[in-house]
Amino acid sequence: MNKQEYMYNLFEALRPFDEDVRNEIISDYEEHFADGLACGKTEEQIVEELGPIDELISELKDLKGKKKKGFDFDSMDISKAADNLVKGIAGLVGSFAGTVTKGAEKMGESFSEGVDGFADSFTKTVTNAAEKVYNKGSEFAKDISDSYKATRNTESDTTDATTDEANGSSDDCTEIVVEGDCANIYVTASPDNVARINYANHGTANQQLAYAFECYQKGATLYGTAKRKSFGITNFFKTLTSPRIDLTVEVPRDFKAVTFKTASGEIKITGISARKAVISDVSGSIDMRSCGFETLKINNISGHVTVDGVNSDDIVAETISGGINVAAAVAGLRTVTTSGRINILTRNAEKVDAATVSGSIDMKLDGCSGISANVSSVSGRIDLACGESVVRGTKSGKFTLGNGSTAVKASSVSGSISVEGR
Amino acid sequence: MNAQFKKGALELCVLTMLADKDRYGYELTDEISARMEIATGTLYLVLKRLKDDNLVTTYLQESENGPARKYYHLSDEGRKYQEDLKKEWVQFVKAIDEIIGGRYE
Repeated sequence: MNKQEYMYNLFEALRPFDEDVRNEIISDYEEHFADGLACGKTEEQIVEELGPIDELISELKDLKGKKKKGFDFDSMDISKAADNLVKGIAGLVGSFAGTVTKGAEKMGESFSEGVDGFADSFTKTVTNAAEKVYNKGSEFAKDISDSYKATRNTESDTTDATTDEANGSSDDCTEIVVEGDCANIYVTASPDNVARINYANHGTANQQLAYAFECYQKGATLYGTAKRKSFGITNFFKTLTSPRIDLTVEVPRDFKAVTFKTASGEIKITGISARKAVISDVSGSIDMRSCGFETLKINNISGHVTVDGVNSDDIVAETISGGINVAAAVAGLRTVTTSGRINILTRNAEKVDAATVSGSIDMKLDGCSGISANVSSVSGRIDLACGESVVRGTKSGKFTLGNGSTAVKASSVSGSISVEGR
Repeated sequence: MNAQFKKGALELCVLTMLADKDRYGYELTDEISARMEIATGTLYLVLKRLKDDNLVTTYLQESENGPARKYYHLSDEGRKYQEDLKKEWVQFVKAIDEIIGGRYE
């Protein structure tokens, strides 16, 4: 086990305990890792020496009966992040079970030659797999616009023996929702304002059979999902090697809303603009470049988050185990991680929040004429600067630099904090 | 190792190591784990308990690399406790020695 995994497990195991106890132990362990690594030990060696987390927890329980009766994690941003993690996982499992069930129903309907228009058309589309079916703006589309609309193009395996491909598109949707279990999601701007979702499963024949891609439109929203064909959540946790699945998405300009979710895979988004964007991953990196939004929400659990060259009124980026890098023109920014560094470069920001348990925070605020800072670090050094005003080597507190126009909140347990307005 | 026995023994080790100078976590845990097989993680709980009982105090100090280190300092109360504990320990070990070291063989 490496440090990241160990610290993540520790963090989880400490959840029932008081916040100050949790923070103290996490910070002690972080320090221990830093010193151990500096002495030339490997992360694995240090993990081995620190010993089983169970043992620590059972001794901690004996310590003073400090264990809380209930769960009350709402007192701090970090705690909320942890809470969100559980909700996120529960939601993920829930929604996964939901979509699988829905998917199963839909498939059942489709293949049993159901009587409604969608099922009928869908069956035709699937059975005429070799035939490319486009029906943008066709009568078909109008007929079923109240229920489902899908354009699906399933290419026969003979064209490409190693990849299972499928795709869907729409020229009149204003929202897009793409979800994958173990898919990488790559998003770029559409050159012709048609929204497209391409599915490519690079796995073995069996792995290709185990996954289904569905693409349909409901109202103004185009949905694309790549999910395992399993019924019930237990299959979700079975260890089975996942194939590489790529979902390549093209988004028209000035879209209303985009949602991209995957459980394990990277998400890369370049050059799109939308009013609202929701990006979520469980295990994998999230990388966004040259995009424009009104609101952007990023949720990751284990992986880095990079936001580079993005314009947005509001950005929230959260991860549990991973660093966060944000370079953005943003009015309100909030970043939360448990184990990782936070680097922030903003232009004309009004409000910037950053919280981490074990990692340092570095903020550079361009176009900033003053800072109202509320900063705290348990064991790290804090430096603040804005023009002529400088505060160095402080521990925690509230400070006003210049005209105090940008509200900065930064907290770390074991990392240093540096904030520079310029 | 028996939990109670271990608890007292580790406490004494830590307190004794702090008697001559202040030390930080890794220094203490590394030294002790080099001599006996224990999960170093639990040593941090020993330190925490000592701190909660006001036998040691802590303060932060910058380190050349990495985050600031938490240093442990033996309080007056801790110093007295260490002396008492040491006496008890020596008597205890002596008694055990007498038993296992021949008299009852």
